[in-house]
Amino acid sequence: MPDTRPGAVKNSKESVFDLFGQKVLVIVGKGGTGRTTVARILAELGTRSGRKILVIAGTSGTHFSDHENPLLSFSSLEPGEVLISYLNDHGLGQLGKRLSSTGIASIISTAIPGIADLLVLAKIKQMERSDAADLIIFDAPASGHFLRLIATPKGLADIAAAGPLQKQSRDVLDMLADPKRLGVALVTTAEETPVKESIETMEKLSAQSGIKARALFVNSVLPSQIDDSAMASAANTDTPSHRAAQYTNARAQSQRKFDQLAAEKLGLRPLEIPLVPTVELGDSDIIYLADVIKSRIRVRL
Amino acid sequence: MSLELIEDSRVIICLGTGGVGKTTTAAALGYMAAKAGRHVCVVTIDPAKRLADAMGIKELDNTPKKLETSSDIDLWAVMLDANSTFDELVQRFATSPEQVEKIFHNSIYQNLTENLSGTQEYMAMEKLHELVSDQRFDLLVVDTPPARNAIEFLNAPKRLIGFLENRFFRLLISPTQSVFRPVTIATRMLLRTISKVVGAQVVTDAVEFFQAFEGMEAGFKERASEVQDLLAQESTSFVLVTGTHKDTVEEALYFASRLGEFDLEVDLVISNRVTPDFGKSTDEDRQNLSREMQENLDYLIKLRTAELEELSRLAVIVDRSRHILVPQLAHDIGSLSEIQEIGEVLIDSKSRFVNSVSP
Repeated sequence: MPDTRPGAVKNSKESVFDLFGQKVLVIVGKGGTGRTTVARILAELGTRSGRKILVIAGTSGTHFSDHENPLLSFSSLEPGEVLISYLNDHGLGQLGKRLSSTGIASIISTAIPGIADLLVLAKIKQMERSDAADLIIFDAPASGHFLRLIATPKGLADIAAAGPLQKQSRDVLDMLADPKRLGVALVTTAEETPVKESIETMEKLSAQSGIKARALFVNSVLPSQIDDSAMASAANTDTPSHRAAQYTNARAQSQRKFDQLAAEKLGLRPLEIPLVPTVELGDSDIIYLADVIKSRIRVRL
Repeated sequence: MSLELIEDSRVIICLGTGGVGKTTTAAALGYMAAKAGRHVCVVTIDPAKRLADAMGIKELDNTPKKLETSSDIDLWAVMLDANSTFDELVQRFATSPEQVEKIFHNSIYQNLTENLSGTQEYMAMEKLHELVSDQRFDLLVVDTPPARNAIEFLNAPKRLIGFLENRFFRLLISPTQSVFRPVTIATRMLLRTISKVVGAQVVTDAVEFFQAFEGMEAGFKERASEVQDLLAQESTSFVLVTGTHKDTVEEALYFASRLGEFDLEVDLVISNRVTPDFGKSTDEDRQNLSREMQENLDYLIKLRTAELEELSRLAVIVDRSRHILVPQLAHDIGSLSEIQEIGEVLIDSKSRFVNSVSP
């Protein structure tokens, strides 16, 4: 009987996702789907192969556990903070700390929508050009915001008067357009809203910048489905185990439907991340999940 | 036990991070309140058509739409359109039609809603203010924007007013006041630098923007303080919505502490998607079961145990009799019947954390 479980390895290694096929890997997904989890798994896989990995969080709020791993470094780029430091470096430093309190930074970011986001991408580009890491994993902000972020350099490059920003925009556009330099990994859960949002995000992303997703991670997939015959053979079918089995099967069925929908619409083979029975993933959980993913993808060593 | 909150409140504000089921929770609360005879309007900011679909409303927009149901309940929904709400505000406070035109054409104004953080939240509050005086409704259930943190929501009026009152640019547009002349010279030097770094257009737009808004801050300020009063009223309830993961629990704790700073209290906590309680197997069951089934049950019990342990941290916000656990449904939410299903769970006393069975 063919194994149709959502988390099952359908065709080992058939899903070829080369982790090092690009220098920058952007993790995109709806809020709450587990972008940081995917970033951690990919960082684990990357450092295993002896490469230097830099994880950049798109918000200052994200926490990434402190690693002893010398190959792994972490940094965060909060757009507001990046804008202020840019303005400081470009002659507005005389206002010093008052730059944010005088409201000038917020006037500038409102007058030039996306300027802060552009500067975030420019920072990433700068790190990409340096030898800071072999792979930069960008744990991007939630997908709605990310779309705006990606649209920024194009919008700004069109404004001739943008001065020094013009070059920044062009450089960032070059990076976005080059699949050898930058790739996107999508994250979703196998539910209606996140899957639909992922499909929409990729359509817009593709139309705006030609960026295509390299990999599709489906998070929190129930690890098993119960064999119906085992359930039917029992004399009493109203036991805790039966109720639990019915629940698991109903959810697994629903998950499979959306897993398939995502796969079909996005043209990617989903890489399922099993649901771990915990409220917070520890380092050992990440190692386990990295093993699961490694069995499905090619990691160039 | 019923849910007092939906009987007594005038306004219910649902707070929570993105992805925890806030919109569904707001809809379910609204539905149950309407079923109890209240005249309810659910205020959502969710641009997804899903809620409208689920509620049987073709399209939600800035004007409340009544839900068509077979049962005779008075349930409405409105989707916040921050841009048109802001436009209406400008029209209300402007001193002349020319001022309105000037503001509408200013590029900073056009970008404000999308790009100045807190503006969406401010407009949600503004819409609320407007709907409170709408005679058709006696209860408003607000699904707040998925703010990254509570400060955005509570500080929104202050932030926007702070932006409009910008001292730096105010000085710039009143150069006649000689007292400020030395400041103005320093300011002009700064403006030159800004022009060099980000383009002269920014400065032009900013000056125009503040000139256009001249004289309107008073109106905005008054409005904002009225909204603050509304939030502080006894009849306004705050519902904190969480998931089961540690980060959403952390966020909820943070929200509650911020509310406290504003002298506001959480009245109810609703935690969505808690792994259901299936009970424990007897020894006899264990002998008869396949290993697979037993492992599945053990796995789910382990998950539920971890979730309840995490959620018990929220006891510092409300006691367990005011903490509702909504079980993860086996199917996806997406139709009115599922909103009803969640609604029934919300008013069922068995859903209270205090009455839940720990595995």
